[in-house]
Parts: sequence; C-alpha cells; structure tokens
Amino acid sequence: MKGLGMLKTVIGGLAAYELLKLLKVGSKQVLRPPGAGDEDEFLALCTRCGKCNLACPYKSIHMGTSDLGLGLGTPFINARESPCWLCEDFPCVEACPTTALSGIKKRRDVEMGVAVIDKKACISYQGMRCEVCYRECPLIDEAIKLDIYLKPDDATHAIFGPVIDPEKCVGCGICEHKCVVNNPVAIKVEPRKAGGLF
Amino acid sequence: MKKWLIIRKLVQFLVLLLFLSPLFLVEVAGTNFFYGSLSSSEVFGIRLSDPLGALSVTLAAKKVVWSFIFSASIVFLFYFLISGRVFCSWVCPVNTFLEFIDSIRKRFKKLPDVHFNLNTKKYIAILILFLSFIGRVPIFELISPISNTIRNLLFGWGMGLYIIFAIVLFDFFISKRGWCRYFCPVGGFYSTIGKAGQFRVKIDNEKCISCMQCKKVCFSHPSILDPAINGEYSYVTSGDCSLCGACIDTCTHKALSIGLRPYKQKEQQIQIPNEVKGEKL
Repeated sequence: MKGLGMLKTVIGGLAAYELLKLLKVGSKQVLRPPGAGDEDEFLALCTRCGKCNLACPYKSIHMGTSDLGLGLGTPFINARESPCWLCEDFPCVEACPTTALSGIKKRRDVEMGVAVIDKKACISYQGMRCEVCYRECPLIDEAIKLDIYLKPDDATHAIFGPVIDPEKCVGCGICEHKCVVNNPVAIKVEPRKAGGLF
Repeated sequence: MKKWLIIRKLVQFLVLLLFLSPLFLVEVAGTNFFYGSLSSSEVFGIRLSDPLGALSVTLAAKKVVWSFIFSASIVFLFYFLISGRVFCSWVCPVNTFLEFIDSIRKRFKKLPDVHFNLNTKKYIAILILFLSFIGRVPIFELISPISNTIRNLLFGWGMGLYIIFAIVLFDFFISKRGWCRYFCPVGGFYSTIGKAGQFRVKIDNEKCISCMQCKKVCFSHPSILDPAINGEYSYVTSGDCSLCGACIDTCTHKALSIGLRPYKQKEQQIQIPNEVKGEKL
C-alpha cells in the first residue's frame, strides 16, 4: 500500500497545483469584451461558457487560461493582436446568457477601457505625419482629436499630435492594433478600472 | 448484442460532434444552428444552460437573471423527467473519456478499488454552491473537468489539464470510476433529482437468477442494484442510476429492461428462498 499512498499524494498534488495556480494570480486586469461591468461582478456573473468567443466574427475574443487566475475561462481581448471591431449588433453581448456582457445598444455605450498615448514613443509627437490611430478610430474627431501646433524652434514644421478624450473613448483597441510603432506600442488601451477581489 | 452500448456510444459521439460542429460547419461559430459549451449553449436560438452552473452563478453574483434561470430550467426539467444522471452516461464528455480509461483499467486485474460514500458528491455540490456564494466566483466553472474538456477542444489546449490528469490517475490506480461515482458535483446534483426520473431500469424477478453479472458491469455502483435483485422493488430506485444500459446488455436471462417507472409498486410478494436470492454475495 506504500505505492498507493505515494500515488494519492501525487494525484492530490496535481489537483492542488492547479488550484493554487488559480488563487495565486487572483484576478488580473485584462481588456474585457463590450458590455462587461465592474470586474468583480463580471467574474461572478460570467459562467465561462465561451459563447462570446464563438459568436465573435473576428475571433478577437480569447478565453482566459489559468494565467488569469480566477478569470480562467473568462473572455478577454488582446487589442494589439485583434481588437474589438465594434460590430453594429454586438453578437458577443447578444450571445451572453448571464448578462455578464450586457447593456450595449450602440457603439457609444461601450466602455471597455481608455486608450493612452505614450508621447515618447509616438512618432507624431516627433514631427512625423502619422495619425494612423486618429484615422482608424471609429469615433474619429470624438475619441481622438488632432492637436496641431508649430514645432518648437522650427518655423516651417508642425506637430499633428493625437489627443484622446477619455470621456468619449470606448476602448475598442483599434488604434492599438493599427499603431505603426513597435516596442513599445505608442498607444495602448488601459482596461477600465478593476475593483479589488474579496 | 450489446444494443444499449452501441446506442449510447453513438449518442456520446453525436454529442461531441454537436459541440464541435461550429468549428467545421461555419466560418463564424456563432452563426451555426448549434453553438456553445456544456455551461451554456444555443440550439436554433433556444438557450440551454447547465442548472448547477446557473445556481452557482446566481449565488456568486447574488443577482437573478431570469432568462438564464429559464434556460437552465429547460435542461433541469429534461433530466428531471427522464432521470438525472442520464447526463452522466449519455452526454458528459469526461465520462466518455473516463469510460475509455476504465476499459484499459479492466485489463489489469490487481489494481485497487477504494470505495467512498456515494453521497460524497452531493456534499461536494453543496460545498461548491457555498464557496461560490462566499467567494463571489462560480468556483466549479473554473476547475470543472467537464467545462475544461470542452474548453480544450473548442478554444485551445491547456486549460485545467492537471485536474483532468489527476482524475485519470485516480480512476486508474485508486478507485474504479472513482470520480464519477463518488466525487463529481455535477453527478451529485443530478443524482439528487435522479429519484424522480420517469425512466427506470426494471427487473423481472421471475427471470432473474441472481447471477450478479449486472452488478459487475454497473456504471454507477454495484450496490444500487441490490434492492431490485433482492426483490424489494421491481425497479432500480437509486438516483445514482444513469440508465447506461450496461446491466441490460449483460443480462443473459432478459430479466432487465428500461421503461417507464411503475406508479404503484407492483406486488412482488413471490417468496424466494434465501439460498437462491441475494445470499450468494
């Protein structure tokens, strides 16, 4: 029976390892699909069925692995790889059975996060004409506006700097996806504030 | 002819095919006639949800979403009317997999088979609901080998594999079909409503010769057949019976069948001498 006892320890260990991995991370702040409320409420309401993932026509919604801790099996979006393209009918919200994703009628209702510009990395702020994020933004001239001014100490060149309006930005991440600068990306979506767990 | 085995394997295969169908039938899974997982899915626009999952989510979020409860009650009523644990042997993908493990296990004669209390899984189900309530997270949805098996198939490899691996080792080396018999809270939930099911394994005590072959193949637990074999009841009363049909397939005397539960317990007062019935175990 000695072997059996050892095997039980191994089996218990494997199960415990998986559980501890979940608890260790707690909940991590990630970009949720449109219609997700407060993070605590979202973790409670999401039944982790993955229907939003299956409903997304752009395959933008991924399912969290144990890296997400208690968010295992919950949907998230990696905006750089594939953002939320803000479908007119929001099939992900439509698919959600538990209202973990809900309350979205039109694009402007979405509150996934807010884009933040890293002015040091952004080439527009160095005097180049880029403005890709501004042109690609589905809420052009609302969520991202251009701040045009003469380059200091330069009478012929101007700066076309994109500026985010945090009130209007829905956090879809299209700008982050399209940004031409790499390492670091000059514009990133910060997920809406996550409440503390417990 | 193992009639029930063949039908059941077919159904198990079709269920898996149904869940995987969005991946190869359509470009966008959500446009398929069926999509979703065992936690919640949609067939021709009708929403279906797992009742235990719905309970834990409701308790965790402390918010009643009526459409969600409704979608879960369709599934609940279905199993309530047929027999709770029909889910286990006909639908559950983990059981499909563990059956395969068990068929390998059978070739090794000397493996130990530790028994536990059959009610353990019900207590675990209650514990999980309680933990969901205080932890504010539907805890079993995270670790459930059932959800994770479907997730691994649908969304990519690597979710909760350690738990599935632990269960396989446990079933193989420690307890025959141990996870399903004693520990799975979904099975526990369905076994509590199992007694009410309208379909039952019935026994014809005049044909039964108490050879106990059925007990050897029983999926749930051999002991659940005892009251019927001993002639106390004309059908298997235990909520643990999953109507897998293995006992019927194996019965050489055609004493067993699946049918509607008799409303009145038939008078089964034929006196059978003890040395013939039951004492042989």
